[in-house]
Amino acid sequence: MKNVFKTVIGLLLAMLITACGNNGLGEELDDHATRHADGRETAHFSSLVEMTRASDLVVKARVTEVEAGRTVGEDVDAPITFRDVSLEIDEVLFQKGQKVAEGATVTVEEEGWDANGVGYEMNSVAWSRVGDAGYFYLKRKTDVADGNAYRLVHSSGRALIGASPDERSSQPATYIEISGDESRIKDGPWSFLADLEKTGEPSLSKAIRSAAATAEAGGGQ
Amino acid sequence: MCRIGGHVAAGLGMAALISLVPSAALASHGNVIEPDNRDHYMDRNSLTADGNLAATYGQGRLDSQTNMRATFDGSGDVEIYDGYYGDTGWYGRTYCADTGSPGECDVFTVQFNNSYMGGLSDSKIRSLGCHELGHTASLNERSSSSDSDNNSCMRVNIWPSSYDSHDVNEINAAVAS
Repeated sequence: MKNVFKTVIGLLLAMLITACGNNGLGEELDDHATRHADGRETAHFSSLVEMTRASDLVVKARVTEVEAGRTVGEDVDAPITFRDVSLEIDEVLFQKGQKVAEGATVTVEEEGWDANGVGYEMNSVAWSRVGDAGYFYLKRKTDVADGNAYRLVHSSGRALIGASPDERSSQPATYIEISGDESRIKDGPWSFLADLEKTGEPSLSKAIRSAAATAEAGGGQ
Repeated sequence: MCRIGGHVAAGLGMAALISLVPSAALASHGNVIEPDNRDHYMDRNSLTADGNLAATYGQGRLDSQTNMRATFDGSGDVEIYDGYYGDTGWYGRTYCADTGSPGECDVFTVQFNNSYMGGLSDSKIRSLGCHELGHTASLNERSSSSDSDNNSCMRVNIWPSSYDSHDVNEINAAVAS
């Protein structure tokens, strides 16, 4: 019985250690990001309406699964492996082109791992975790067949809303977490946040929905 | 990452307070990571014409404008690649592949994305080279508030082609010791 127990524990440990898997090159993948990459993005937005309009899909959603995805750039000695983040959609706020229904799950490719399996954050977009929930501004990837994969339209295209224990109070603290570099946030589509001090998630939600409605109506151009 | 911490005091009927809290995610120096010294040996790894244009222009800017000795005669500090990475959302990127002392980098990797480069003019490609190699020299991106005269290639929404005096001072300070 003791041997069976040890075997089960050993198998469980082996599963944990290899839980992140390998990339297409056989490298083991880190289970968390230890590096940071800075990249010049192809888009820049000065307002939420602009960022909404440039998106193919804006949703309120939650992360249900994360696993290693495809590897690109294998023809050079510096490939990258994506993290496939599964988003279950609670609400569609804006979309264009191929329609996605509420309740559906879409895949967001997020960076990632380098050629040696080292985990990195791209432009300060923290790795998504199962359970993360909030608003996502998504662009359908043009290099994935069937349009079945997305990426954030910009590094600041994710606003997570969560609750964390607040030791100072019996009430839970809520937080809003905007992805990306602070400089891009302050100089970009969320620059209005400075004016939202002393307001909370309801106002953020209202701003997101208002921008979506404006973009839908073709306004703000 | 920008976390806005809030505190809901339902009993008082107050709305949640939002304060900007810088992320404490990865590097202890924020996102600034410096080269280990002023000698900056760069390798071009089978670059295309566009990748080579970006790399040589960026190397030229660093070498001529700053106290860094940026050169392709030697190797080991910056590895430059270009490849078809697909629709990633970035034209180019830089990260530290091999960290040295805290806050310093032994080997940077720079990657240009050929999936987008073909759509850029030569002047934008040069600006991109200046931008990405600026990251290997300790520079972060600049915003309109920190570059009011719009002349730094470290901007993200315009395409200047050189480092401004702020950038040069930052780089020279980083490699002074």
